[in-house]
Amino acid sequence: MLLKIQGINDIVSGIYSHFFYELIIKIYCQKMIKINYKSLLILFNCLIINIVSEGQMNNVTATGDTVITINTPFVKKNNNVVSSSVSSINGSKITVFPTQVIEQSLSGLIPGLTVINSGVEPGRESSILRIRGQHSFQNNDPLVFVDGFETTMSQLSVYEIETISVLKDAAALVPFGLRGANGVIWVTTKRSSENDKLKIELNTRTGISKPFGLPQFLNSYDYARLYNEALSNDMGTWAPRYTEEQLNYYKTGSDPLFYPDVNWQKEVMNSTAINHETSLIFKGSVSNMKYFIMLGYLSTPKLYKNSNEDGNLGDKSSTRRYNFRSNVDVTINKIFDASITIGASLVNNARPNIGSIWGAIAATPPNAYLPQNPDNSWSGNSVYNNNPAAAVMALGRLSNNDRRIQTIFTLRENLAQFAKGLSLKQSIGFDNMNSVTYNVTQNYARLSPRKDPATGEITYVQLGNSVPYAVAQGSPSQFWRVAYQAAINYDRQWGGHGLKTSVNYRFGQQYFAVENPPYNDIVLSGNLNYNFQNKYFSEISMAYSGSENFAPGKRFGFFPSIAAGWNISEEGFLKDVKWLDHLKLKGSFGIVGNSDIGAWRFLYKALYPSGTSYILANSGTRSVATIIEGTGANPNVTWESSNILNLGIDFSLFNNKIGVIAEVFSEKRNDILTRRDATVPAIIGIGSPYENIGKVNNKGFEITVDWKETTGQLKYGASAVISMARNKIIYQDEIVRREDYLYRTGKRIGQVFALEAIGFFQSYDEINNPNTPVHTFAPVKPGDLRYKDNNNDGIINEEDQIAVGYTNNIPEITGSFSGWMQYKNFDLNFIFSGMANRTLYISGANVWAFRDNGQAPDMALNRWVYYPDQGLDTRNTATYPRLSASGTLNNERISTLWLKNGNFIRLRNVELGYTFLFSEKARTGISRIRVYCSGINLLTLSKMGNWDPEALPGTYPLTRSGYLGLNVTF
Amino acid sequence: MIKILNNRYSKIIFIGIFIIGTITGCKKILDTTVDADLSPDQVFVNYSRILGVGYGVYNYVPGGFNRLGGSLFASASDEAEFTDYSSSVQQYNLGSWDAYNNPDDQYTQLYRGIRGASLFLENTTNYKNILARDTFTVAGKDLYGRQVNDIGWMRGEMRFLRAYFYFELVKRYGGVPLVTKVLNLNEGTSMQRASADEIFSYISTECEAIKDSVRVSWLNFDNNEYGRATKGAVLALQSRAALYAASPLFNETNNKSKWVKAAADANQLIAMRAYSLEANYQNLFLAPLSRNSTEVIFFRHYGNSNNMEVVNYPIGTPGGSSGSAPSHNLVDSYEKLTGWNADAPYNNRDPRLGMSIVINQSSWNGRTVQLWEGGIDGNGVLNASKTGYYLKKFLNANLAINTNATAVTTWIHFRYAEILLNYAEAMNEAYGPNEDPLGYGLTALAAINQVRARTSVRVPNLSNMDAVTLREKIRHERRVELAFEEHRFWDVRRWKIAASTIGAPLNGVKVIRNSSGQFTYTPFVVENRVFSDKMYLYPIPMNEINKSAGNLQQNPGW
Repeated sequence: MLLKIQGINDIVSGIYSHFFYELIIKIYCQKMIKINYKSLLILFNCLIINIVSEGQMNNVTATGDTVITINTPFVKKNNNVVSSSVSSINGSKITVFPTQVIEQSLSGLIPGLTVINSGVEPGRESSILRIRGQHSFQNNDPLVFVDGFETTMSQLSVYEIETISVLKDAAALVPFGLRGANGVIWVTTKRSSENDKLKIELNTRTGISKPFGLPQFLNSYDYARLYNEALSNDMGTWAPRYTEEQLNYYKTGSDPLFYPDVNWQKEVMNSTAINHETSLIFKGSVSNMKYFIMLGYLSTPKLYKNSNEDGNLGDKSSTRRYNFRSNVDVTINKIFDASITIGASLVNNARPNIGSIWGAIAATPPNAYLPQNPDNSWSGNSVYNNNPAAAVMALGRLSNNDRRIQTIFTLRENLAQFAKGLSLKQSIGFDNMNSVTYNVTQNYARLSPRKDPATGEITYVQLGNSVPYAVAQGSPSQFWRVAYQAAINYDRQWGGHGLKTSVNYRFGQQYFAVENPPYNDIVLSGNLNYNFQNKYFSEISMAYSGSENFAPGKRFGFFPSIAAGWNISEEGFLKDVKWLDHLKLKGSFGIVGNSDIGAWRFLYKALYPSGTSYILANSGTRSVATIIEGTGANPNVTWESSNILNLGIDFSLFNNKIGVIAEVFSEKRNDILTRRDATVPAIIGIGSPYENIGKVNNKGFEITVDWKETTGQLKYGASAVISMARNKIIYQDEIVRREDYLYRTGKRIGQVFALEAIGFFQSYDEINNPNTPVHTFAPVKPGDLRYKDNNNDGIINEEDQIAVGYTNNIPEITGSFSGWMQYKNFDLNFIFSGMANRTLYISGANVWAFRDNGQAPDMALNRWVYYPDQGLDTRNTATYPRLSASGTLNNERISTLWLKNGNFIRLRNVELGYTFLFSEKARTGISRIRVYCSGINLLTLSKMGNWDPEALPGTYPLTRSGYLGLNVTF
Repeated sequence: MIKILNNRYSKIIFIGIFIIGTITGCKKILDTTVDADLSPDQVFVNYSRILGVGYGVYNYVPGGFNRLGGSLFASASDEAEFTDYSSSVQQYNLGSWDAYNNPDDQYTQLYRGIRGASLFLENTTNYKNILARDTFTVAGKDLYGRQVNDIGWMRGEMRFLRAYFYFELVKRYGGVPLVTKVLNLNEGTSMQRASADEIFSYISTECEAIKDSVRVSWLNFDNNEYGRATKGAVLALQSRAALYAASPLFNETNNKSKWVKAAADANQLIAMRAYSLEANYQNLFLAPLSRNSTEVIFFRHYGNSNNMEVVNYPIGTPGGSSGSAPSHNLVDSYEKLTGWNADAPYNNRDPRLGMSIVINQSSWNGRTVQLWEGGIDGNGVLNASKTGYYLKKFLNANLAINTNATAVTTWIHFRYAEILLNYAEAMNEAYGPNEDPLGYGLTALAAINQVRARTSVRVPNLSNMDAVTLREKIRHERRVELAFEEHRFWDVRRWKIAASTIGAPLNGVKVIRNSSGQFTYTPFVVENRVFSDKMYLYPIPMNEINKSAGNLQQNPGW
């Protein structure tokens, strides 16, 4: 089998090299990086000629009217006859977002899809995707398919997306068998569907972006002033480190070399970055062939500063992506159609050679030193060894070059000669990612100034030596996927009856690392869809699906679903109701699986891994390898199974001015992998095996409302999407807890547990009062947080933590509100999106002042302090605990003081455009030009103050940007 | 590609083969395996893998040094106070530990070790046939013979370790379920606790059975294997277990025969004449003596490390963080010798004080330690010692921790001085201070005096006294001689004197330097310690009680 797949590989890679590698290599070799539109056009022309001539050489004839659809595992259906739950967004809706990775722009837009953007640094983005919330306390990641084959979507350009669909209920997910339960994101790319002549689109935009939501740190004067308090608090008596005279230097800024006041964020970041995106699309058809070809370029530089003199190091902030797509559909003859779908991306990403610049900023107070000494040498000393400015500008550059190529070859065979409506489709898809890192590293001598108290002469103390740059190429990392799919479809209409059936087969392999065996999966699925007079629909789907993760004999599972729908508006009694255009009820129920169950592969096998080495020998240093018995095997290990019930109603009113789609779902996830920690006794002497015993229920709804109106030349409309999912752990064999409220079972997955902060200790009298519970985390002092003794045992410890708020970071509710307006040639669009029922735990150096000698956040100004002799008394107004120069373990723990409401609404996009239309005969060949300006992330409403509720301090900030753009159609 | 497909028939055939080939191949496709980990039938197949399993069991012996919340275990007793308040070791001092939360809960770990040992034993019963036998050549014959011997010894060591794990269990929890085979997952729930006596008896029987099936010494036989258990280790365990079994905590009726047995067991090791006291008390705990002194019986190497120094060096030494600060309670118990006077309270003391504890104005880390208020190591400096003392035992004097220098470290599990003190205690209780009715050649008094007469210590011999007085002297001697070595916490429990010792307030000294440079030392209470009777034994973890469906009884009071 493998050999056969590889045989095909050879054939397809031939196609690769012909169509694609050549082009990419050309682009790369000719340093097309400095975009030269003219030469790009030439290249494209070459390519088109190439493809066209290929077709002509083979003397294929066009049949003209066959629309090639990609090979989807579910039968692509007219939406009216669908009873399953699938929500989609058109690609044109997200082209307004100039983001590097598509998923980051989807937040709130598609009912049922939650996107949490956990990293927004260009080139290092990361997102958490959830479909209908969390279903399992193991893996919740949905599958992503592009053009019918599993991959990721972050490599795609917004201009090549046709639709993004989210598959949610059992009827939609059964074809994915034991891998579908977490939902599927189904992306299709654009193809040329009409029998058009060549049409060229040029989309280009340039914007300026500015960071926001940055952590606010105290300036040197406030820092020093508060540090005096912190130190005094630790010492138990007023013991300032900075004298009044020194404080005055900070206040006046009269001696910046010895009393600096540095805003490190300004030192490491430019205030703005210029972004640019261009895509060029050719689409159309030539005789028997349709093509959609795109080249995309996106540059979103990071905000990191480059220094003037490091020419050798190159640009340390660039993030560039080149996208290429060639989707070609060929009608070979009356029987055969073929499609070649190639999508590729190249990412060149560079960044300063430092793990976390945000960590370095938080660790370096404003008065540590000037970034550079007057002689332009870098500052630094043994306490603050990591000068943030130097870290960005003088440590070198890390870069990576990622190449992604997805190639799909599809052959479709119309078997009408055997039976009318019968067809066969086969596809092979390859997905390949290769990443090479290239690092230039160097180091700098740190110099700190000293002033001779007698003479006033300034000398410099050097720490470390400068190390000239060295270059290292990292070892490439790669993964690839290969899959084969075949489908036999039978599609007939007769009388009032409509019948669609299909049998699908898919086999996929994923290779993640050379030494690992591939991940294999197989699905054989069938689908029977029947409708009567477009009024009543029913659909039965089933899949027989296998995974190698399980023991022989237990690898294959059967997954059925049943769905039904009723187009009430087609019934006679509603046909005459004028205001009701459409009304449909639908429901589905079925069982889907999730084989990505957590822990590790092959849980059914008992394994003996190597253990901690032991040291023997007379030298006292000889390590000997050990072998230990692994966690107990579970030969019965199986997939998670999910019973999903979905009910929905669709209706549209008043001449389709208002359309509503509403769905409710209830999911029972069973067989979640967990250990019998509360059942298997420790005297067995082995970790209890993972068993499929966990249960989680998940319920929720999604509502989409669309509204549109026309008044004369004014057209306008709006749509709102709201999705909600709430889960509850039903069973997980949880260990015994002392208090009922400590149990995680019965709560949400990831429910926040925190101490209840009920105020600050006001005095030692209060602390020493026998009725005051003993706080066991650290000896407490006045100004420390006082917690509620929830179990009334007189002791405050972790057993007083109660469930507060929701799950950290992951919301229960997501939604969006978007609107559009068109007046003559003007158009206006906006999109708000938001999240609710979300809790954020803030912690670390951006929250807790003077942590590890670092910065103090502005919220520390609201600290508790009481030094009557110094005129300091905030006992009644404080919202932040007393300061400490060495950290306070009592205060720096998860408590309600550090939990924030993570709800927010963001105006993610506003766009105003004007379109010039030209007659077809215009000499320029241009038929349409649209100019527009847009604003991204202009407004955020949240309860997080200065902070952004998505990109929390300590991570790369979100940017607010303004764009000018141009769409030209030839 | 397109050309090939132009022939209609070849197309259809091609496609047909495709599908058939794919579907028929599918069952086998899912047979994949990871090569990195061994499957059960690949483990007990050759010499090196069998040995690897054996070595793995050694890892379950509870370690020493900073093993509990970054602190010496001594900080959970009246020997020391750990400077970091947030360390889990403090829970013992605050009394905030229980069946839900016990920082030194070793229940699960020890039963894992027990299973590992049983697994080894059950899978190597026919080890002579498993090992590759090449007896045609002389070299092959030798090798086979050596491997057969080695696995034979390792089988003995497994039984030793299993007995050792049971000792570690019984001293913590009292009687526990006695599991001596590999259990199936569903076999454990119904097991009940054996009595402490049954566990002690099991340990003794095992030690007796295997003492001659392990090597007497690895040194100069195979230096690479040095560190594996020996006959001395087996007998030392037997002695310690017998002593605990005879002690008030486990011998409520004061059954004399248990003391008699404890004396006999200690004598077995002394009678080997293989061990003797190391002359240099301070260096005994540092490389290389900590591993190759004749006093050392069983130990564990920790390789190159500076963790002890980083944690326990005085705060005034760059990189030091005070760590486990010795208590004044302990310092006070070092004997005052002739010539002592209150003005210089640390002069003329048992020399072991200066070798174990850093006191004010002493020389350490290449400087003079400033423990007074205002000194760089004293009260007033953030994270300085809370007691007015710093730890010296186990620490290299001048390790450059700021440049991350390290030294070879070894934790001693058993050493000869302990056996002598075990012997003295058992003989005194069984027969009295000066009796030797079975002709062992050593009385209780003589044994303790041997320890006191160590070359570098030489505190005056104890003269004859009654058994009750000598009992106190022996307890005192253990406290001083074995300070910080994870004995005190257990000794006060087995003697049932914990309430008045580790339950008493923990003291330090305030060191004040007056204007003329004179020092005054004023004891003060650092921390009021909590001890209640239930704490003589650890609670069985609550989770285990609940899992046992009523078969496991909790210890009283928990």
